[in-house]
Amino acid sequence: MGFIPTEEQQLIDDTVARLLDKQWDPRREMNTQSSQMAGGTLWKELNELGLLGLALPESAGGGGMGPAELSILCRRFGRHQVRAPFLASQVLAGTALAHAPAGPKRDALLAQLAGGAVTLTLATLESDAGYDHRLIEAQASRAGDSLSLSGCKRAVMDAGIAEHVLVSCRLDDAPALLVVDAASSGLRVESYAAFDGTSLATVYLDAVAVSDDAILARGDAALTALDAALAAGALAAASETLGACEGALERTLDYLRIREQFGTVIGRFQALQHRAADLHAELEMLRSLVAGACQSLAENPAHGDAYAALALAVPVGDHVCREAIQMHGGIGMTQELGIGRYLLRVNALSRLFGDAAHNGGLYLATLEV
Amino acid sequence: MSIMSRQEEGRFREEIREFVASEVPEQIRLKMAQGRDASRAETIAWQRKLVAQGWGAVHWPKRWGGTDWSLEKRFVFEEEMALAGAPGVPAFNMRMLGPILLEYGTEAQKERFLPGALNMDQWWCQGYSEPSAGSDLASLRTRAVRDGDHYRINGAKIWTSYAQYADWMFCLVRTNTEVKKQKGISFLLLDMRSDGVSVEPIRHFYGAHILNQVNFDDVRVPVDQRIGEENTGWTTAKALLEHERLATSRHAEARRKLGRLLALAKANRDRSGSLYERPDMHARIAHLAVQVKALEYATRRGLEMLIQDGRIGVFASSLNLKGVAINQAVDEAILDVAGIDGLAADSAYDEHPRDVLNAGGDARYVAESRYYLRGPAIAAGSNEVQRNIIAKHVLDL
Repeated sequence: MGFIPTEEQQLIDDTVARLLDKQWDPRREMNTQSSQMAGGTLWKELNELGLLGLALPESAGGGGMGPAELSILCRRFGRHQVRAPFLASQVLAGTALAHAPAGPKRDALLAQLAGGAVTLTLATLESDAGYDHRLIEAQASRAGDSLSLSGCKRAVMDAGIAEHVLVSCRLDDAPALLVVDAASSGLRVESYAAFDGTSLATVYLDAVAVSDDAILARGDAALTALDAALAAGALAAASETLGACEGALERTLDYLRIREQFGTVIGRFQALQHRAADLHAELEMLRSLVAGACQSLAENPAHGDAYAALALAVPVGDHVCREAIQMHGGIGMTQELGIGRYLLRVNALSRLFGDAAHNGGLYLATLEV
Repeated sequence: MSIMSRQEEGRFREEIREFVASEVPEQIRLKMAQGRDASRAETIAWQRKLVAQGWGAVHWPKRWGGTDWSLEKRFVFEEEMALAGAPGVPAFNMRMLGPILLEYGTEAQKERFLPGALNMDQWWCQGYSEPSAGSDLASLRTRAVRDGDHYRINGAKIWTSYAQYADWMFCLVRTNTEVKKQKGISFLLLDMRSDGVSVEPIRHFYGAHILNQVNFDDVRVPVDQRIGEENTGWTTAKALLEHERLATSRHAEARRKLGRLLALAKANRDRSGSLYERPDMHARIAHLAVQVKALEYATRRGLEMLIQDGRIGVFASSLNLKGVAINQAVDEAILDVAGIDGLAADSAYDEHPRDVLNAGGDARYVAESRYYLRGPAIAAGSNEVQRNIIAKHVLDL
């Protein structure tokens, strides 16, 4: 059970859909980067309705809901082409915090996040490490009463607006998760735009002084928090890709039904019908896998099914969104029509979380045990 | 609808696995692992064991030897049986004829045919397709002309699976040529030993004998062997296809084959190590594993639709398309991983010890499954027909 949405889930989906229809016109927001969106009315309303914190723990003031509800929200964002710091702040940083051991710093941050009072991000990726968040070179070392953190983190989402950055590093020869104030001296954020409108940054850490209470987790506890965050990220990315595909296919079908060439609507051509039917069948598989992964993650926050979902979402997303452009013909190439924005998004998500081979490999490794 | 608890489901699966482990002979278990068919005698013997256990036709009502289990429990049963490597139930008897008789047959017809179908005293085959009626089944032309209390049948059926084994056939025949093609079809039960029935084998391109052409030359069929009213056979047949829709995903089969692929890839080596570790093969296997998982969840989603809405509608077309494609892709990978070990013809495997033909893992008969699976992309609505259905009924094109 769990493949057909409950009434409550349907209600969440309807609420988000109505809000996005009203507050987010993808065409007008074409140049809005994810970090810029955080100041707008939509972000505020999502927060006021408790949607941003819906999957954060109830004990911290969040909605206490599960992966299925998180997936619904991400899917809507994909469908409506929303660019937001949600993935960085609520999904990655929020999940890492939620799965870090309780403590004054962690509890306070989580409560602030759930209340919408703070924007966070998680910095894990490094050069020459692919997408392996367990290959960590950033180093925290003892320096008197405090720690000194040095390293370089790549492709950190929305670091330019985050008040705090969660950083994976090595401490006493074990992995650790620290939280660093973005205003710390020695921390430098070089922000840039990704091709899909995500705000990214390279984060340089040069002997940043960090106090001991900023250690959120160390050793296995740090890996537990990171694994959960990355699995939630993979599920969120898969869900958003699914939503993007649904948006792209829906618009493409609308076009096939009205565009006339050679004296008939082009949707009558069997060559196009069959291609559209294949896209539909692929999406049915992706829908099923995302729904199954939500159930698996509800039981085990680092379940390999999240990586399976993304490993399927990457090629399906690329295929569906490429076909959406192709079936629109010349107009599909234009920025004004915006159908190509779906392709940019799904491709960016797979750059952020790894390609099909990477995620498929992670999933396959979980079948081994 | 009562939902099984996790513990209940676990215990039930364990019970099935134990039954299969103790009751399926080694010879058959190996055949199943190799993706081959059980023989006629093996199939009948296995079915009788299931009947003795009370599991002969789990989706039939208890009154006729079934179980009255919930949809979910039946699904778990079928899934676990397939995963455990048990031979499939003879679909024509248990999954097609049985449900039709139960829904449309008279009490007398049920009494006469259900017990023998359950116990495999009669092997049933399905007479639908004809030489000129394939994907367009309703254009079938085999004529049944009323002659007193009999019909006289003339025509031919084609692609009839296991007709060479069959004692009886359920078939569609044309009883009225004057009306819209779907309105002039009747559903008959026909004794394959009747005068005028002849069966010609049609070999698959790779040599297997599963399919046949069945010719009718003035075959007499008593009117009381008609199911339902005259000219209502199309409705009956369509309902029959509905019973089978979830099974078209072949998800348990895909999972079993994925296990074979993993084992073979780990056992087979080249100079740099096992094929499983070779990056391109690892990525390919990972992608297949992901797709098989998606198929498993899609099938469970279909089950949930069945439980909640009583039907899965056009979702079945996606299940069919992807189920066949994913099974084919796993088979293709198995054949690639087998390398030269996969070259031997089935007859060579029949005649030689394995080590003559295989250096690595067990690659016996790998080609057969791969070529067999071209068939389901064509049967019961070809891939192209499934795409037409999706385009029309879901995409509104």
